[in-house]
Amino acid sequence: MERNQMRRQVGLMRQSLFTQGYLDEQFIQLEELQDDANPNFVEEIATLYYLDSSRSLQTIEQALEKTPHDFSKLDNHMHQFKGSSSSIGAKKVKAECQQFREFCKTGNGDGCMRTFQLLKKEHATLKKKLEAYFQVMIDASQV
Amino acid sequence: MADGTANQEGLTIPLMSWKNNLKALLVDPSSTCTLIGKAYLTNYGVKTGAVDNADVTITLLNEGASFTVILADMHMREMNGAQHMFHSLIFGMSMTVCYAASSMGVQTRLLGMSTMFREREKEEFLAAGGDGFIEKPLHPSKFVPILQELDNN
Repeated sequence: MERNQMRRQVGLMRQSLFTQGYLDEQFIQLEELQDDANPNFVEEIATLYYLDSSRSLQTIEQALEKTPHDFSKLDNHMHQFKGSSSSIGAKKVKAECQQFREFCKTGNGDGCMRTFQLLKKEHATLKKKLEAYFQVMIDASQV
Repeated sequence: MADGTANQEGLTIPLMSWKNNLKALLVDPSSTCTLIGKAYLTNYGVKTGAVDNADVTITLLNEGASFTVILADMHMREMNGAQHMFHSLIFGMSMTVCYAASSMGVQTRLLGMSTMFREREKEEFLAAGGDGFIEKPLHPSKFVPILQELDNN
């Protein structure tokens, strides 16, 4: 009984990550890469992403503190960050990356800084949600 | 999309088989991207390696490593963050690839990867010696047609 309830909870959590726009189809591709040979693939990728991306965010933050802004450099950093975010299907994070790049294109430093704050927020929110999701999956598999 | 079946060594049975022994090299500073790319390509029967910068690639090629295709992120920068670095790095890579190709009769394609391509970036890449492009994130719908073309040549 409890097992089915937990499985339902996993399903609902997963569904809400998509319906609330946190994740896109790319995440499903990752799930499809998970198999007997790679049973924890998705969680591994997510963990790696958060390690990678935290470093990238620090780099961008430091670059934003230097004035005048080097928009070409900022754009490049963000392009790479967008690449990894896209690869795990981080939809909202990706959208903020795109907005940031638009501001780089027009040389709008204030826009970049505002967007960067939003980006960090989305990044942190997704992290919490994914951690909760993986935890529930682990709990469900142990019942 | 692995079918989930493991063989005796616990490795996934490839989803596709090829006429030739296909080998790919991913050149990308993002380990998230390379892990995913490697998983996909391996699942599709392509022996895949990954490095995080172009200098290492050039070293590998000079030491005689050969690949059917090299997939390089178009936004790599040198450690010191020098601008336009990718241009000379890609140029260096493509020259080494050409040399390796002519000396060993191996055809290696050099493809640029990006989440979004700007025309000028594409032109620069091709001018530096690149052969083509593939959109990130990597997905079978994108790389299978390219691999089929390479396999048939």
